[in-house]
Amino acid sequence: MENSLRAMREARGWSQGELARRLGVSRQTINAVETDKYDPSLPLALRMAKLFGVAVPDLFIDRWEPEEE
Amino acid sequence: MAHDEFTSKWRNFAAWSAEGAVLYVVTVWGVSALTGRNIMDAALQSPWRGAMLGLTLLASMAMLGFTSWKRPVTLRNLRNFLIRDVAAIIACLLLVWGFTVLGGFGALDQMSASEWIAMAAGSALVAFASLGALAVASAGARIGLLDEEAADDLRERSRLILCSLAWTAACGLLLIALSLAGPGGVLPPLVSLAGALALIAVMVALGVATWRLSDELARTLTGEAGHVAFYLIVILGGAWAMLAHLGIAAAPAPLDWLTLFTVLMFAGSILAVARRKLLTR
Repeated sequence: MENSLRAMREARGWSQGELARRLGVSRQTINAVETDKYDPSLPLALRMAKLFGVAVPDLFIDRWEPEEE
Repeated sequence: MAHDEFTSKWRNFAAWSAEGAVLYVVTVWGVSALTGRNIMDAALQSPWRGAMLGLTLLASMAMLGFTSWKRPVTLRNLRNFLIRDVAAIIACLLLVWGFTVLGGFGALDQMSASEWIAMAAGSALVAFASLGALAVASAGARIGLLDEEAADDLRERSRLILCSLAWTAACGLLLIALSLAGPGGVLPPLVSLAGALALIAVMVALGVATWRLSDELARTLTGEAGHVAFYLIVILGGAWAMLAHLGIAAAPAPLDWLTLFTVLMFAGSILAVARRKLLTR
């Protein structure tokens, strides 16, 4: 899923390793999310959003729209 | 610009493929020297063997070319490549030597095809785990054998990777112990059973440790590998059982099932990682 994790991380001046440490995951997980190879679990997405002080939809972009009745 | 990049990739492909060909010939020569059989002469006398030797040469060239075509041919890359691949060749030659020693004891004469395959698969897993451990050690020693990012990855997750590699080696040793305990084998069945139980206990402990050291991505990949392996076993094992039931092929022996489970579990892991494009950077 498209996301703005890299932009938000770089805006804080954090390395992938620093963000991984703060979230309690490996650097590989952060790299995989940033490069759109892995969609994080809901708990991890919520932790990421909380860490950056944004809502989950600001971090992960889903372009799906419900069909109109 | 795009054209330059394309040309550069194909130049790298050609250079690394040529290196692959040289190393392949060195390996064949080493195996010939160890076993006392001239593989090249044997290949020239039989079209089928010649074709197999040629195909494996082309496969090794293509594999090396395609996995390295983004790596420029610099002196440092060449040195690292040579050190890594010489280690792999030495592991391969050690395996051949091990088989030759066992053959000297007469342990291989009585072995069935199932036992041969189990032993070869087990030996390959032990060699893979040993080479992986060497890679982790080289990253820890910071001797510049791997590129910086790969070395960082290995250093950061060294405990997790070492547990996984030890688990892989235990799987390989289990297959070897069982393959040596068949009729006329060098290991009595009860000794093999005791060894197998000890290895299973070690594998359970390592499996728990690996799970605890894994983070979300690693646990997801483990689950996906299990799913892929299950379907591979259903398709391949099921097809084999079906053919055996119909009398078209020989039924799988119990050891065949163990080898199939082990090999397909590793195939499942590789496919799960490759499906997410995590094998390449």
